[in-house]
Amino acid sequence: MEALAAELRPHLGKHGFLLRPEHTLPYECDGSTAYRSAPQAVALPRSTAEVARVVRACAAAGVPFTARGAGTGLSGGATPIQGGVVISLAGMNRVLEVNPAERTARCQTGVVNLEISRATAPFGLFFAPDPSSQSACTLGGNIAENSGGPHCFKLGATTSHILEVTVVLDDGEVVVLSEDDAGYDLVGLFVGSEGTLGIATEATVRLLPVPETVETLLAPFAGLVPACEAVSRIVAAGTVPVAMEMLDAATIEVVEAGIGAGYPKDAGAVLLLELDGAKPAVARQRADVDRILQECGALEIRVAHDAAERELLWRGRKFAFGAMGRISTDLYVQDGVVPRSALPEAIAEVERIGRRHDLRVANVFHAGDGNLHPCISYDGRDPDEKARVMAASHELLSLCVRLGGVLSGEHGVGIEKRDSLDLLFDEDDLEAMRRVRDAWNRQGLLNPGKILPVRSGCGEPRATLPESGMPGRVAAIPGAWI
Amino acid sequence: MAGSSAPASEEEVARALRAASAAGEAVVLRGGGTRLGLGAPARTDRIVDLRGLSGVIEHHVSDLTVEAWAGTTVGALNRELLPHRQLLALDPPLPDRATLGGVIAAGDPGVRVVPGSRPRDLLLGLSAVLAGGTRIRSGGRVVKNVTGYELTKLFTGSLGTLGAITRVTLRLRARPEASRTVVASLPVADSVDQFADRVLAAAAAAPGPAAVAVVPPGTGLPGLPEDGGFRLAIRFEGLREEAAMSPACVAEAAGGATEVLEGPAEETFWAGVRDFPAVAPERQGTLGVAVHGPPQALLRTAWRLAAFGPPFAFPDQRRAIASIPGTDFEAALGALREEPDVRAVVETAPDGWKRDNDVFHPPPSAQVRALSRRIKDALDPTGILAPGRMPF
Repeated sequence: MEALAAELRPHLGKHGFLLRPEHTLPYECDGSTAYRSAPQAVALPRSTAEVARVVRACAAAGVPFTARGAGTGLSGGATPIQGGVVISLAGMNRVLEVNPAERTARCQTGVVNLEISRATAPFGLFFAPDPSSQSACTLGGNIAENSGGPHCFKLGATTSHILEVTVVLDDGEVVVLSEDDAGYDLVGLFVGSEGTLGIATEATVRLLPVPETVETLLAPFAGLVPACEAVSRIVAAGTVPVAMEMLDAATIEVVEAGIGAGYPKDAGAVLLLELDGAKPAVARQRADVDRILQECGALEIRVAHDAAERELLWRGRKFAFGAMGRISTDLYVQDGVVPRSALPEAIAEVERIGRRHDLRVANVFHAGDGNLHPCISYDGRDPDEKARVMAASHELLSLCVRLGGVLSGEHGVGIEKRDSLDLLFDEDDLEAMRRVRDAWNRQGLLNPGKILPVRSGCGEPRATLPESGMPGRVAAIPGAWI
Repeated sequence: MAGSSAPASEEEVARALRAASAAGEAVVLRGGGTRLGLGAPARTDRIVDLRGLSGVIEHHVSDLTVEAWAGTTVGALNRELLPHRQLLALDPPLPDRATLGGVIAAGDPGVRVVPGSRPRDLLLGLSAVLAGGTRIRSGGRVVKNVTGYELTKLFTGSLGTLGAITRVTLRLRARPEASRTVVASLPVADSVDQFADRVLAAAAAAPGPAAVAVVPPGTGLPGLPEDGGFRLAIRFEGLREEAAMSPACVAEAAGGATEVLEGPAEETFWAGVRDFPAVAPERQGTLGVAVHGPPQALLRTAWRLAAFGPPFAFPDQRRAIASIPGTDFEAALGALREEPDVRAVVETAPDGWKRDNDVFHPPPSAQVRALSRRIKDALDPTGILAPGRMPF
């Protein structure tokens, strides 16, 4: 590592290549604090050329390297599980160019998600992907994880909004992948590859016009089943709300105790729903939605009349994760997806699994696309409880697969779910993925140990929860809510 | 003369590919044959026809998803969905011949521009048989999924060079309650830049369009009086209120007269636009050229190509298509080279033309070609699937 430092410091500066443990320790994990492994060094490049230089040096030395944005990921994607060098893109945070006529922006990938929409708002445009951590997470992280967010139900996840991406490959070569190119959809392959195929340093993103009007509604229900029924009927009727978010009674209780968002404490579930578009269209959607909500037994329909009220309605949803950090030392959040029609069955089963393992499970989820987020509160210092969390989590993933779903909707596989991938894919499926990965990640140095099950014999243990919990750690990650 | 196989099951597809692999035969996979000429010419010892794998496997009505065999035609699927008031919002040329697997393999974007309406967005999962006969699955049947590498995206637009798509799971939507198309005449532009700016400004004035097309003069499309000028056609569909978006904003921004198409006239109009890329008998002998790039450069290119043959432009899709007489191709290439940011591909050409001429103008960069080659080698190591067809 000293040799790498000697090679790279003349280019990156003394503070651009960190070696001391007190400097590298903050890079030991991302938002999924369950997995920790400190890097031997952290590089802080400021340009594509500097990233390429770091990668070339690592490749020549046979040292693993892992790119990192803001570290808000929830599956261990930015955790350097095999050590080596973390390449932080945080210093490459500029919006380089906005083209309002073509509705595009060219950005460095260390730019914070929300900064793109801030920079393009004067032109009436915004960047659609809105992972809940958008005030902290970076575009590069969004590209790596194919991040979603509440509004991707209507507008699509990150992959639908990337036109071109500049990538530093495994050997330090720089390539521009463009949707306009003939041939394979390399942009489509790259987005969501969790930093295992290359490091994105710049991207041209698609922007959308800010809608003429937005309506935000909150509908409490007696329970999750009628609320889920309402969601299915709204979609079947041809109305496409821009977001449909659900919170169960356990979450409402935690949220109200924690931040007091004003959700009805006696409700079995609340559905938070947003409509947007041109005024006459939204008025009609609103009429349809109101009728369906009432027919499905909504206890009331609360409407935000201005931006402040809208913010208040969203507040409970946005801070649900943080609020859970207040009631336990550790929190385990899952990200499985089930077909929308299976939501009632899935939720009932989640509850049974929680009871069977004597665990406190709260549900907050993206109802429109069936993306569950069961949150298990536990105390990591209690080995018995930890073992029960692991058992329950495996049952939850199996449940999603059994109901026709998948393991992850937006957090990615990372370290967390890689050893469960065989619940969904057989060895032939995984081998095809492995061959594609190895075609671009030839030495296996690019973010090793992620996505695909590590073959036995590699000497790496299966991913497990850590030995000890870190009280309060989850809530301390800035913007790390789901 | 190439041999042919017509498997009727996944097992038979695997058997056919294993046999071809063992014999070292180059295999071209086909569905309805509407886009069989795409790409560079592939060595073809055997044609494997996948239309025998046909029909809906499972329609998840309340999830708005469907799993179907890849040989099912888009038209047949949409007829089956009709009683449920649902729709697969893909509109490839000749939908009664085009198969689901073929549309995915061609990556044919159709004409819609609603976010999430491209083949890559609507394809939730697939099964495919690799060259060696191995069956793989990728994706799933839920609308949001980041579990593993996106092989579904790789297969979209792969032109049968990575494997035989056998089943697909697709996202559906509720059939629109109403639809209406506003067609605005674009006043004669003084310059190529004015043309591009005017089109983009007019298109931007339309809230939430379902489709946006710049329609050239001389296409003979029904329903439009021929006055020698370009038109901007914007389709609004969905709820009645969404379809009824005032044409005034489009007319004002375009600066010319507008007319409104509804009902059968509207369907006929868009069917004409949709089918244009497939070779029509009267255009035999011409080259079908697809141009991709940033909207402004794309529209300037379309304007210049109008000197050779009618160019349709879909600025929101960053795509234009033109039909150019073979004799004018060298001159048309000159017009294409004026915009360094656009890439053109000759999609359709008279028999034999592609053997003697370049198809990609320009081809992707050397690095992109190398990365693509490595993917091809990873999934088709013996290289029997349509060798030579991709730009690397």
